[in-house]
Amino acid sequence: MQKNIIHVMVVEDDRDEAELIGTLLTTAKIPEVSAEAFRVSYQTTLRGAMAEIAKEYVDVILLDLNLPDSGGLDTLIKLRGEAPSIPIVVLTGAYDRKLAIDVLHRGAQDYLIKGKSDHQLLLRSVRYSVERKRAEEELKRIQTQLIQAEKMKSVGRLAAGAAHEVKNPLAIIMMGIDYLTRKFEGPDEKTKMIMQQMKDAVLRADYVVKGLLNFSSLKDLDMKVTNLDEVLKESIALVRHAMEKRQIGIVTDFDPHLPMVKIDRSRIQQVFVNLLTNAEESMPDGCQLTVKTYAKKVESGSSVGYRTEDHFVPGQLSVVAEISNTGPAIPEEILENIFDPFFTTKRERGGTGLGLSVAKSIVDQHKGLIRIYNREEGGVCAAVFLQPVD
Amino acid sequence: MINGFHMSKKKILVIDDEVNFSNLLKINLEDIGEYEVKAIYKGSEGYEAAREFCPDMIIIDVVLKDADGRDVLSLIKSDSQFQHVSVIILSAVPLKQILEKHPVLLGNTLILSKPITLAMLVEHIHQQLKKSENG
Ligand SMILES: Nc1ncnc2c1ncn2[C@@H]1O[C@H](COP(=O)(O)OP(=O)(O)OP(=O)(O)O)[C@@H](O)[C@H]1O
Ligand SMILES: [Mg+2]
Repeated sequence: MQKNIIHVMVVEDDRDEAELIGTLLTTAKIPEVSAEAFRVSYQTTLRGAMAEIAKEYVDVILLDLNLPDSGGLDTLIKLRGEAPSIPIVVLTGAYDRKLAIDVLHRGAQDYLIKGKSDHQLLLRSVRYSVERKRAEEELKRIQTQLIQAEKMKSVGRLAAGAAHEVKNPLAIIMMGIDYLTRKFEGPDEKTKMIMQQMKDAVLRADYVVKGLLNFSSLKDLDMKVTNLDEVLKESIALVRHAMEKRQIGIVTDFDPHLPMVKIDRSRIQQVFVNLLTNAEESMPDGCQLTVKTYAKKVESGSSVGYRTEDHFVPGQLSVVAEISNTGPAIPEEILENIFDPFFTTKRERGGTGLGLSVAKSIVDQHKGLIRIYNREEGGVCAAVFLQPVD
Repeated sequence: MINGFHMSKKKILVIDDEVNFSNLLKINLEDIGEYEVKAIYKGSEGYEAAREFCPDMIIIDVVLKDADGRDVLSLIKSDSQFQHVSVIILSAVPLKQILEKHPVLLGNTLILSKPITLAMLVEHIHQQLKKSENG
């Protein structure tokens, strides 16, 4: 079995102390932890620590609270804010009961007193905090999944009832409009226009109901071995016109050796069209859309196959389609809501807020993963990870 | 049957318990001038109405309060007189659901979804009737 390497970042401005900890960790030869090995990196400032976690995957942080650029509890709060999922063990000079309680309340996993920590104590603390954090994350993930599943179920139930109870009245209104349109025919342009607007409104309401029904009919997929590039090309063709009208450039970067995927073609196309439409709607005129495909080995440290994430295991291959756009970012405070059914910031433009939730359920059905994040260089990237055909 | 102008009006039987819908549909279709429409609101009266009215086409909703529209259809079609009558199922329930439970309903049966514009519906009625004339 592969040795599990734990990356420990020691954030400590006292060089001797840092080195001591490093030595204790790397020379560890204790039977109970023999399945693990430690890789230690060092930072002397909070800023350095933040830069490292942004770049690299860190399993656990050993943190001295008093650094040249930050002091006290504040150091912990800031670092946790930046990396809520990385366990932190706080190092302090002398035992201080109040501080110990404070740091644990602020989300630190443990608390160690400098100089007093021997081999065993240090190792156990590091290992336990990693384990505990893992368990916490797993629990959180399962909870979110449950909530999401519950939401989906109620939407499904709602849809079946809504279909009958909403579509019938809509049908009556539609027939009524057709009747009135005939009665008013000829004389009045304004009346005609209003009739047309009413018709459009009925169709829009119907479209929402249809979107809801998508949830309940997701069970039966028509899976076929497919080249994902082809599906993307078809999807782009559907939105190209709208983009060109607005001087939005479309750049494609397809991997010619992309592994085949086994998918329900029309469903995955629906996913891409939803993502492309979102990109189009968010971009001011003259922006750029980039569509890219590639195959990627899932790393243990990457955000895909990220330990507790299901469907993908580290080391396996994934087929990735990325749809990214320049333009505004998604505000941090709504990022976690965008996959919720009916969540939309475009209500007044006719958005229903179903695009992403439908996309997510489709990708879930394919045992894939969908991620939407703000790009460092600005704009938004939506990435879909699918299973290659084995 | 050579010239459309001399053709008698086609008869359409509408069976739908949404009373307002049935009535509006009747008015709209009759205003066009090519159709004679009878609207009824109970599935249980479907067969009797068909015998009386002798429709060229039946437009029916499958979700009726007093009966399953598909059973009503089966009953009507079991009469040799109506074996080949054109049928449009016009329903507010998800179409897939109908197909799954009753896959044999294809043939000269067309399934459409509510809401629908009159223009679209008339287009389909036209085509269905033409098909049954030719076949
Ligand atoms: N590429 C993007 N750039 C900026 N914001 C985005 C992007 N994609 C999604 N969003 C945000 O996520 C929200 C939800 O998207 P979703 O596709 O689910 O619904 P919608 O686009 O608002 O409506 P519709 O049902 O018509 O798709 C959007 O309203 C928008 O605020
Ligand atoms: Mg959308």
